Amino acid sequence: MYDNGIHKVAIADLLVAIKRYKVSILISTISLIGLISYNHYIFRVESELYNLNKQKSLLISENFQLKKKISEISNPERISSVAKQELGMINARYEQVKFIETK
Amino acid sequence: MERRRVFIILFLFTVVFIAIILRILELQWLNQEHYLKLAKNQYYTSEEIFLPRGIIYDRNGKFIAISVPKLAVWVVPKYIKDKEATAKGLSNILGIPYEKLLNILNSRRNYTVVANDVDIQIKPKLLKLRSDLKEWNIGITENNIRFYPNNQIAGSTIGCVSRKTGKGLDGIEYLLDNYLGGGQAKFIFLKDAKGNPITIEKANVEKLSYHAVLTIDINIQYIAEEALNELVFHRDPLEASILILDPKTGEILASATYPNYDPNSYYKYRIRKNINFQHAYEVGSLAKPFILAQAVEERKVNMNETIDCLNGAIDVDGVKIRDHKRFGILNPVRIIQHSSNVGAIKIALRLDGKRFIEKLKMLGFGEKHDIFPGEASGLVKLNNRPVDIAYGSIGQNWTATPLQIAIAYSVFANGGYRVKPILVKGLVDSSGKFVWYNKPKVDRQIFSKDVVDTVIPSMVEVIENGTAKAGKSNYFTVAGKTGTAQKYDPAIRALSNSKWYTWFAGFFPVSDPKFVVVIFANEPKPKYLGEHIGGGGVSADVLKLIVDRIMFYYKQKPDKQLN
Repeated sequence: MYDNGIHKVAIADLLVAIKRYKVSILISTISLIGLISYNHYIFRVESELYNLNKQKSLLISENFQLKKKISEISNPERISSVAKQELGMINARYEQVKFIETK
Repeated sequence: MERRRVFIILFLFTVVFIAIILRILELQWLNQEHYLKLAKNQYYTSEEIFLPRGIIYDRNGKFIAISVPKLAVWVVPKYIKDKEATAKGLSNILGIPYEKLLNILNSRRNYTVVANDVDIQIKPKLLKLRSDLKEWNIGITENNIRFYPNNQIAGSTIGCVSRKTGKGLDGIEYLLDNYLGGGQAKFIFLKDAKGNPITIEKANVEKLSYHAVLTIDINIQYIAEEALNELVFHRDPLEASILILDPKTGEILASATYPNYDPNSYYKYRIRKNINFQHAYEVGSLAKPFILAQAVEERKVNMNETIDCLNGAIDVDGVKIRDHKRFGILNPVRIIQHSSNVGAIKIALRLDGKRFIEKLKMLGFGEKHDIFPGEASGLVKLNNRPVDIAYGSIGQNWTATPLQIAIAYSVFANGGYRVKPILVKGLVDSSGKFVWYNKPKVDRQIFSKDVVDTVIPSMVEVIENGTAKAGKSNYFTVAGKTGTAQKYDPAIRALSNSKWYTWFAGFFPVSDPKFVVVIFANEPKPKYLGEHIGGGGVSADVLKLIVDRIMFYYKQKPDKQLN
């Protein structure tokens, strides 16, 4: 009975306080929600940025690996050896070459 | 009394407060750097990695040198909980024996690199292993190693990068070190309370670097190296080289040297010099066309006149200088064609000595072109005495690098102009745009076009019917001159009769010269017993091989009538 009375008084006081400071509470709540949303957004962007950077780094590495492969394959010594030994090619003689005159 | 006590307490509080403020000022402001350093030492540990260097391309955009990302895999054994599983997992991924890895994990305690130069494609597997085992003390650091896809091709020209510092050591790598970037960077790891590296905090990797484009054509370079290998195989010289350049722009298309080295494993080679740029030698009869050109220019010789070559010997200031054959009466064309010393000396002695020396310097002899690290300047310190001029006219007593010879012979190929040699075409940024372009430059005119045109037929005769006729191409007209210089032998304290420098310098096709070629050998051996060593004999086979292959590569139509 006594407790119930205290509670009622406390709630009434709280309501009065809320009424009195409603603008401040509203501003605080909105600010809090805004801050949380902003933080969430920043976190999301940062995480996306991190993933994109990771992906970029991997793609750069892959690109270099491919460049390495291209450069190994284009080695004139390798091409010459494949042409001569595997494909049985020989250096062309000029007698075998036909030149087409262009205007 | 009570009031006084309050004052005392307040005073004490104030003193303490001021002391605290002063201490804070000391910590945060006066000794900030010192304490920051202490904090860094406590919380951070650093590791040096190699940064990527700019790519080096040949003139057609082919890769000459690239930095390839690689991984370094490390562990901190004292924090690895399941050593067997870690060793097994790493062994499967890295291909390192399980026992070896287990031994490392059991015997070592602190940060230990277990594998270097690991393929970057393996990174996801390593990350998965670390995550599956929850062993956060398996670490990966990205590194860069310099890779030369063409191995030893153009090795001595490109140079190499130190495995210890990531900086250029020789050649182009050294020359462009400030522009290609690379070197080392410090990665800073944040340590936990026990000193265990937990995460990369920051790295000073912001470094500007460009890519370099060379004038070298890697295919021409390969042709030159194959030809040089032939020379080395048959002649076993101490040193040899081939240099090819464009006489109109001065762009060096190929620089092949013996000895050479593979920059990928540069540390295995004791000698890493490039003799095309870094050594000067006596040029022998290569000097003769310059004498003739000057004599023509000063109207001291008539191309139709005949000169008595005195049956093979001439006396100058009491010194007898001999010919390699006993020549009689020759005209200036035949003097060049057969390379008569006596004939050349007689023409040279008609010239003003000072002007002769001056002309050699104008051609670029005795000065560096400053295009390669450690370049030699050669030596032109001739006196004005007739005997000095006589020896100078046959290429004795003064020295030149193969590069200087190539530039000097370009004068004949481009109508009389000395061009500036170019080895680096330019620097490009990451978008492929030139940030610096090395524009071809003509230094000065040395001979008039008429003078050059008068001398060239004698140089054509050298290849068609003279000392280099064995190197004659069936398809293209070549002009040039052979040279043979006796080496000084310290054992006999005189010029040796068995040790020679042999040369060929020339250009082709004569109808529209596109290439100057210099072929050099130091102490080539005879192919058979009793063979007379000479520039023509040593260089002929090589010359023939080079001319036909290069012209075919450039899809050039023969300027000779085909049978």
